[in-house]
Amino acid sequence: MVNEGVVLEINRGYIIVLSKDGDYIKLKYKSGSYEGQRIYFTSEDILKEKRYTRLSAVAACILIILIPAFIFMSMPANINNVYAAAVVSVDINPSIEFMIDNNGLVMDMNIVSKDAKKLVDMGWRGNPYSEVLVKYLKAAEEKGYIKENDVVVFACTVIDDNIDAKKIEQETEEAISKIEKNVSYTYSEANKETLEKAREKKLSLGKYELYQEIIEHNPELDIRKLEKEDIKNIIKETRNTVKQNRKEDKYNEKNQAQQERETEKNKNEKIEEEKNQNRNQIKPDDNDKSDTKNNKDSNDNKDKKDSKDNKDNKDSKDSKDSKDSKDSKDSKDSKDNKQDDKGKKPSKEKDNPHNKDKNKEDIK
Amino acid sequence: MRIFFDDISEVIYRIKSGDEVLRNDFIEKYMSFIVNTISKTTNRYIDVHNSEELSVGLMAFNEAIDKYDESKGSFINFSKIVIRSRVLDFLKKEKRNESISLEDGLIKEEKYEDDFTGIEVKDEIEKFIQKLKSFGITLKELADKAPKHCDTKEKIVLVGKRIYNNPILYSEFQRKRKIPIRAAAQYCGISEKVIKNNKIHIIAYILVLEGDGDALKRYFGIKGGVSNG
Repeated sequence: MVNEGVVLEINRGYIIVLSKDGDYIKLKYKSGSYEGQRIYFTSEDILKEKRYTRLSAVAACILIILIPAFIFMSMPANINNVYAAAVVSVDINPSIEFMIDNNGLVMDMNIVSKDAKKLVDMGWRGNPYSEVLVKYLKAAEEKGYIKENDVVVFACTVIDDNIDAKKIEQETEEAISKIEKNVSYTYSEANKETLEKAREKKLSLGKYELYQEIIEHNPELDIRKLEKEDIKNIIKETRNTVKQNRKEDKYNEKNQAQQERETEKNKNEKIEEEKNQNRNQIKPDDNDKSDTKNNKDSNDNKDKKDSKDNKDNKDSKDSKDSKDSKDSKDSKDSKDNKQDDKGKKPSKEKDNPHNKDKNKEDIK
Repeated sequence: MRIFFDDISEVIYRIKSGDEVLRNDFIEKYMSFIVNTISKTTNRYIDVHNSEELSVGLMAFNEAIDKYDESKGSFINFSKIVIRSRVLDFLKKEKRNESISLEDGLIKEEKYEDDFTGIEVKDEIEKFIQKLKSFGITLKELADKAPKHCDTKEKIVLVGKRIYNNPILYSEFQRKRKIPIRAAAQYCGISEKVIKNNKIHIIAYILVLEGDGDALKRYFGIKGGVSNG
């Protein structure tokens, strides 16, 4: 409804009026109004506080959408180690990964298995990798995760080429040498792709490398087994399987060699046998063959005879033609003769092999 | 209000056929629409004193009712166009009149009168704002914290009136520059919380009552003000 009011104050963007009902109301600013002016206004002119709440609601919605988006955006960044220059995974079981920056400092630690949490102090962030690794290994040793003759798997992926990969390897070696117990270790380097694949399979880098290696020899291995079981056992298993495979391979090689030899022998024997058979059974075989050949030959001979007959006929015709028109068609006759020659030549060629066969037969 | 037809064209048909009561109801119902349309056309609020624009707009709306038929699209859009064009015509004419009015004494005098009352009201408002300032209150605060219920509004008026009319409370209010909340609550039979929450409005009301002029009092329904504008 239309309301009436007196303008009390003119501000930037809005004016305040005192309405007929005794309310102080903010109205949209419109030019030409002055303090003390009495004006008509409608509900459309009133600046509503609701608008701000609506705006804030929209802002809140946007934030609600954006915050998870940011978290989502930042998480893979962390996981893919966009900021890290290198990733070193240490698998004693528990498994852990150290993100190392360009200066060789540990930026972050990716706890792959839960047990690693007990060994890690998040305050290690920002300390040099060499120190952190020694602390971690000592902690693992104290809490009994590292036993005598255990195997520790190190794997390193260099993301930023500026970092010194050899230095990381040296530091790793130094750290492992400080452990009192007798421990063997493997150190491998992997590229970014394997790191990503390891992430997909939710394995640490070292275990994924191990997995890849194992699966070559033991394709039935379950990935889940790698998550929980001792690396030592797995390595043992794989070694056993590898050994078995090798043995099998050797057997196979031997067998194959033997088989090959046998087959060669067999072949030789067979050849010899065949030769003997040939020697022994030449006559009946050859007779059969010669019969068929003879049949073929006879057919050929018939063809030859036919062609000869044709030639004869043609000759006779030619002679007739020549009689009819001696002067004009001499040239044609010569052509015909040439054609006849061409016709004869292939037949002669066909004849030749048969003749050879015949010769062979004769020899035999 | 007798308008209960959804179909505007039906209403207009009936108005055209001579239902004058319905015509008045219809115009009244669409009053805010007319005011809005005029206000948008001139891009300023309609002055209550100088409401020629409003009458032009009303006449245009009336004209629109008479001229409307269904071939002209929706009635709202059609009447909007009619009001706009009539108001704009009026503004053009007024401009010409202004140039003439420099010579025409009568019109000039009328304008002077308007300005004079305007200045009076402005003076009163300025004083009011100054007083509010001395209590640390701004108009913006008053507008932002406006009471939403009629109930609280009534209570504000009641408390303000009682404090103003009670010499003890009023003197204390003037002396301490704040509302004697506990005493006022007891005196009015209203909880302290309500008075605390609405104290700026109560102070503002008392200040209006204090005022010399009648321009502001009128807006609170206080008797004794100038009734005509």
